[in-house]
Amino acid sequence: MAGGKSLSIIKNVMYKKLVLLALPLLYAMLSPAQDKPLINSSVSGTVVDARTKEPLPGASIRIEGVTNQTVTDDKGHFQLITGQKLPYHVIVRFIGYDTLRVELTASPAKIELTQTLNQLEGVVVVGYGTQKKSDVTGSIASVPPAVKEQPVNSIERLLQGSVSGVVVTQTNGQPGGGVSVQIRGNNSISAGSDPLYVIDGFPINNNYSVTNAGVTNGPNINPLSTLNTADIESIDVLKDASATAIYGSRGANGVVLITTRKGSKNKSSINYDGYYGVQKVIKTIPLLNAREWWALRKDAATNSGKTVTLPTVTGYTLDTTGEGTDWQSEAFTTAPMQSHSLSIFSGGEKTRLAIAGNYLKQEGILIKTGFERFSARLNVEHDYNKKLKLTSSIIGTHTKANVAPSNIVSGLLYTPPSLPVYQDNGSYVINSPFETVYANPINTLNNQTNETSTNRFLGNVTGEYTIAEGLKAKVLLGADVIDNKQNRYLPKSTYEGSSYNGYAAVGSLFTSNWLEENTITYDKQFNDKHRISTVAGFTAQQSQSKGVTAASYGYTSDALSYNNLGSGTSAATPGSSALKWSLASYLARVNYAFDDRFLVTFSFRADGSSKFSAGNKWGYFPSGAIGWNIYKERFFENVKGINVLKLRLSAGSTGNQDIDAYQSLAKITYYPYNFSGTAVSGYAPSTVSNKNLTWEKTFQVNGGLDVGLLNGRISIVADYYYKKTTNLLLTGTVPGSSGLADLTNNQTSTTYQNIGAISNKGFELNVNSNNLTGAFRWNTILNFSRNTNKILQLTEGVNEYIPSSSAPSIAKIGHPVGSFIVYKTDGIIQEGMTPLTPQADASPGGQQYKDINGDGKITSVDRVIIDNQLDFTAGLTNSFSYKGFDLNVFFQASVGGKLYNTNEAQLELGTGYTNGSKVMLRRWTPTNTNTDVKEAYQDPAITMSDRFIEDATYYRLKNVSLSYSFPGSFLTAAKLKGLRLYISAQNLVTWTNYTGFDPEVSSNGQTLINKGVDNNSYPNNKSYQAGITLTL
Amino acid sequence: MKFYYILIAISLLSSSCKKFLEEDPESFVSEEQYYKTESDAETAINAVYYHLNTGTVQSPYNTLFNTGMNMADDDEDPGPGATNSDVRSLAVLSHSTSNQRIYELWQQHYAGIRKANVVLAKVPDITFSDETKKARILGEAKFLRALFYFNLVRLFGDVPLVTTYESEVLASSYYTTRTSSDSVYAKIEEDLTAAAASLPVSYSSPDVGRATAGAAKALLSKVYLYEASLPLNITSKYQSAVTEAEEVLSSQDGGTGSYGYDLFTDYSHVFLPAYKNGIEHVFSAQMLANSNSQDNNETQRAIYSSIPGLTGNYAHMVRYYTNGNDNYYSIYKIFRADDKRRDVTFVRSFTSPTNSKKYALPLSNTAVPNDSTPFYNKWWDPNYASAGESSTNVTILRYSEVLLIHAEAENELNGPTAKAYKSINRVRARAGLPDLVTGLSKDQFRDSVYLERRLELVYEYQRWFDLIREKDAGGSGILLTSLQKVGKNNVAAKHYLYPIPQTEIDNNPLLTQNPGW
Repeated sequence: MAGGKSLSIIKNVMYKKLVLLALPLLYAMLSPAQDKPLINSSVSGTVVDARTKEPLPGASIRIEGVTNQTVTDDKGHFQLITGQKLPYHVIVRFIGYDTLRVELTASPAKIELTQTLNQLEGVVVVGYGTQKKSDVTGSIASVPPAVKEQPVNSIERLLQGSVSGVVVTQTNGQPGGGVSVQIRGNNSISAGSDPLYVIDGFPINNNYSVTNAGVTNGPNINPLSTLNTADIESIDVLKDASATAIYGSRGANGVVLITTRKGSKNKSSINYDGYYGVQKVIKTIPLLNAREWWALRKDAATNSGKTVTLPTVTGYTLDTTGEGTDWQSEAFTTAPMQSHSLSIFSGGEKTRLAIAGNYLKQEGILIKTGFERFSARLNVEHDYNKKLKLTSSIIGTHTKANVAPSNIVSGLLYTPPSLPVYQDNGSYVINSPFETVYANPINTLNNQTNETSTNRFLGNVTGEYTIAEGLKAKVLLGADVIDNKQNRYLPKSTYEGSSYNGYAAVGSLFTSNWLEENTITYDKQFNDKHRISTVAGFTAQQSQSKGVTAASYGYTSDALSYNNLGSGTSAATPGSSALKWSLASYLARVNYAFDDRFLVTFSFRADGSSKFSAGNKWGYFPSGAIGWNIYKERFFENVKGINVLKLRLSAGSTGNQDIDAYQSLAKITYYPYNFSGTAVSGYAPSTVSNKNLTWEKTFQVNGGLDVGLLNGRISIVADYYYKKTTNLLLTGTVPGSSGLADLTNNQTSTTYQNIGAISNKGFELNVNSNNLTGAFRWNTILNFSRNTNKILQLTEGVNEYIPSSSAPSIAKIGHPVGSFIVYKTDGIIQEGMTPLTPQADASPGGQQYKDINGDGKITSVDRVIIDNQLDFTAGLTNSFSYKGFDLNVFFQASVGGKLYNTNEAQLELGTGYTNGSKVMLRRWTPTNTNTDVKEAYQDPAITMSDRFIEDATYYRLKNVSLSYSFPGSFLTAAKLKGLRLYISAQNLVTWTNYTGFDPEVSSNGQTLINKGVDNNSYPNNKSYQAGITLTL
Repeated sequence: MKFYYILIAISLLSSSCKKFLEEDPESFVSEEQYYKTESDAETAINAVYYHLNTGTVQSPYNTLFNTGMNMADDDEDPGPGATNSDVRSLAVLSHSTSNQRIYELWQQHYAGIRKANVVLAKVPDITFSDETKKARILGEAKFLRALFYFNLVRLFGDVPLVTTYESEVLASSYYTTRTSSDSVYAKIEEDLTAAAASLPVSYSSPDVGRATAGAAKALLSKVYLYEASLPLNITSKYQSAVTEAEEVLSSQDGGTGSYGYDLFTDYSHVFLPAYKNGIEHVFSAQMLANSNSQDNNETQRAIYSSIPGLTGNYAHMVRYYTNGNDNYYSIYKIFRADDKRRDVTFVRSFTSPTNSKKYALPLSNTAVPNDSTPFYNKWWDPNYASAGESSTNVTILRYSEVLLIHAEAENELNGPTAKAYKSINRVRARAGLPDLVTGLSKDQFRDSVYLERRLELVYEYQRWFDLIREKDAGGSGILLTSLQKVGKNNVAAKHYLYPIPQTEIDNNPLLTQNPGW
């Protein structure tokens, strides 16, 4: 095996952890002795913000031409002791402010710094540290501050439209429900494709399985919704290999670094932020009323050679002449939401604290659904002494969601309008009496218990020890504990519960994650020209889950709900599960800057994952990047108008291991049976072992250009990238004849394999312009991203892969992931035409299809592939401010995507068993032949066609917010530090041709291969809020 | 230097890296750890039976044959509780190659075959204290594999014949072509012959319900009968069918069988849990209430919904069609009024266990006195109302069918001989019917056996197979005429074979589709 030798060397190194301990000594030896300047002059002064006049602690003051420099203290004071004589020039630098070159003539001096307009200055959080933006060689983007103020319930939604290269889809509208995030396209087909989230240095578990104990029916709850967005200081997104390779193993899908708010020295404040709002469904689907539906039902029967009679029902009357029930308006409601956050920041000489609590309650736009969160957070930073700094960050949350059962939306759409909600005696109608039985969805919503609650504790402590100047060792220990509890009760009075005489289930899933991280950093500036910044370390992480479920049924009374399983007369099979995975890693990075002009980054990470087979556990992820600050070159001094120009190039490799544990093993599964009237155990292998299972790898190159124009008023960041993912972790679907496909275990494939390849290439542009900078300020941020995804290779000898014949999705070489395979419709069969259809309804009025291969009949080979790929996504934020008023207007665009509208396909079946959409009023009849809608007909086979593939392009006014901050004079009089009032609206206007509820949807959640399907999803909402921010 | 001590302590905390990354599945065992002991072998064979009744999802003998096959025949229809559009389209024969139930039928049989293959691959290497037990387990695996292939070859025609256990990773290593039906039948015969030689005549508790030598023999006679029938039409196989049947028949029925089979005196006992695995039961899918979801799901699907105290969703309904001036004609009315089987097979009302009221559907045809809608009721469990689950076994082979196989094959071979009459009359007598009139022609006798089969075995997953197998006097198939008679007018010649599931063709490029699909 190639590379086997180096592999074993690295492993040998690994066992010798003591090497790590030697590293600090090595560094210490390398660091040169301090320069001792001659002391014959002293200058003191203060550095303040030019606008607020607040002191700036931590600004650096360096005398031009020499290495001597100092830093301001907590009150912004500095003192320089130097051999130079006044006057002389000093260079004053502070992050987030324009660097100032000023002549000092007298002592004490007062220096004012202006906050930078230049978006290319400042710092960003990078993996295992922070970096000045001007030093960055990779592709890193930050969420603009204005975006962070949106009242949303989970972090990922702040990324939507605000950062180029990131596509965020709210997969459904369930409060607290799913969000899918893709950074620079889909790298994978069946392994996870969402980015890695790192909160205050802790890579957290974002797998939706951790909040699903297996009992609640309906959309899963987003594990990130357990975190309060108000606690966030900054969100930085690492996109290219140079930035993400330090997270090697899990960097392939990008990394989102979240930093929570911390206290600062000698500053204290109490903040309250609260808002109240309402949400409404964006739109409803126009459906037939009772009269129209009844006519359709009669038509369908007649066309199928049958007659139709009204079913006999007792206790209520079926409406065949009037409007009937509008199930959607019965279920959708104007739902309130509110949030209250209280945070206290307190900073002393040695200890800084941030304490915050939040309560959020969001009711759903479907009655009786909702989400509630209680969270508490504590951030402590403590300087134990000059050398040892301790920090701790603890977040505890409790969330509870009432989930809409998965069949609710279909119930609202398909239940015939003839059915009333209530019987004559006031009790609920249980179910529709027609061929396709639907439970009364209003009864289900009101009476089913379907809840999931999660307690999450995320805590870490860090000790940072300064061994010598520039040399620091850091130890981080953390735990992420997620405890999910789910409850379900189907009362006897619901259709779902009636056949069980009441059904109760409870489930619990406990997941604990621990992380240990040891890093050493060394930063050093050698004379004026060379700066290096290095980090090296070892980390280990382990996750363990234990789950249990139990259910029973047959209850004499509904009163006990799910709280007394023992009182059910029959018990369902209980379940328990255990899952564990571990990850061990070595990492190193070197940043080198020469004269601030040339920047070089090299990083390397070795990761061992328990999920892969023996001998294949380790993956190695190197990356390298160079940056050139062209504007700092001599020859650039005379260039007018361009004040920043930087070129970045990077290449590197990252990995993906986001599959379930134990996939490389052949699992022996329980298959019970019974003999002699007694249960017996059966066992058989349900999977095959893959002794070669290893890392999915993504190689990425990135070229970027940063441009600052007009004194930083306009900054432009542009990136081009190419990514190639190989060794794709893919479960190739096996033929059923192998016996490996096992529907009883929802299994259709052998096991994970490293097969296939995918490429993604794209272009990203971010423009930040300070159009007006006077009293009336106007800032515009535009971002634009385009990604092209293509499957390059699948398993040997296979060029396409169709996961299921009941879904329209296909993975095929040369096409993007998420494409469709469907029949092409070709109008309606008319009198005298030769019918071309795979349907039984081949008479006039039936659907005609295109005979692609021209053999005179429609068979599966006549299906065509329709690519599904976004042309581009874009976001446009305009912020205006005048005096205390701030107005933010945020537009978002998603262009070129397609959706298979399964809801509409069902609504146009025309069987009369279920309701239809208003489109069915245009259906073919002998007197209405000039139409594109087929006739009513009973019992068609479902045929997936291009008719239901719709353009999902949308342009959306995503957020508008207007706020007023009270002026200083008022605040002083009222003894306040700050008071701000705001109103805001989300998803206010959407421009789209999509006919479903909302084009932003993905019914299959985070699954990529069939992501473009809108089937029975909880619809998105639009919302309005008003709030107040108060600082004491 | 305190910091160094902390660092050392932490480094020592995490044990050796190699161990740290080893996978230690706590909630399952892996294949490498398994197939070592006699008890492993026993649980391995139990897992093959599992595919007769998989519990949570529809499996061939627990609902799937009903929703994926019976619905299409002339005795059954989807009721209001059958909501699945695949099922409903199958019932009017407008189904497509993408029909999910058809894929499930394909896939579940092969899942069972794989589990039989793993037994046949692994168990021979396990050391047993009792070699006859090892032979028995291997015999059970062969019997079940033969049964699964027998169903597949009848539904789909030529099918991939997989008889080895493969554990390759690549999906493409499972690509396989279709094997001709006669080769599949040859393998079935071979397996059943071997099984008959190694299986015991009977079991005692706790093993009652496993495959027996008599079951292997009886199934073999049925296999021969099908090979002799359409579409293969290998008439020489009638002789083998007769021979095998006579080796199963007990001496009072003119056979040489030593298996002790007989008919229950009371037809209703065939379907009651109290008599499960009795003298008439040659082989059944075992159902058990309140145990790993292994109850008979058919029971509730046949019961009318909304009856207090009874769980019923009325998904399976008796097929009605117009016959003369009766718009509500059905199989129910084909039974003679004095046929004891009729009121075992059907009920016309359900009694609520909570209020003791009778619940029935209104009269169907006012022209027929006392006409009311019948519900089929073969899988009723008297304990159902209290348990909410049914322990009624689903019969796969029973002695009365062996008698009918014998009668039919003997007639085809030698005409309506006394032997043929004797066998059919045994079945008729138990039903309370007089002997078949003597002096019938071969064609007339054949029709009588066909009718007897339909009445005796209705809703026992036989009718569809008979519709594609049986022939009229001219030797042509009866599927089209039979279904058209009951108004299922979408029926076409292509329906003699099921389509190869689209998913299967999409995932195995070596497969070809059946004609007409």
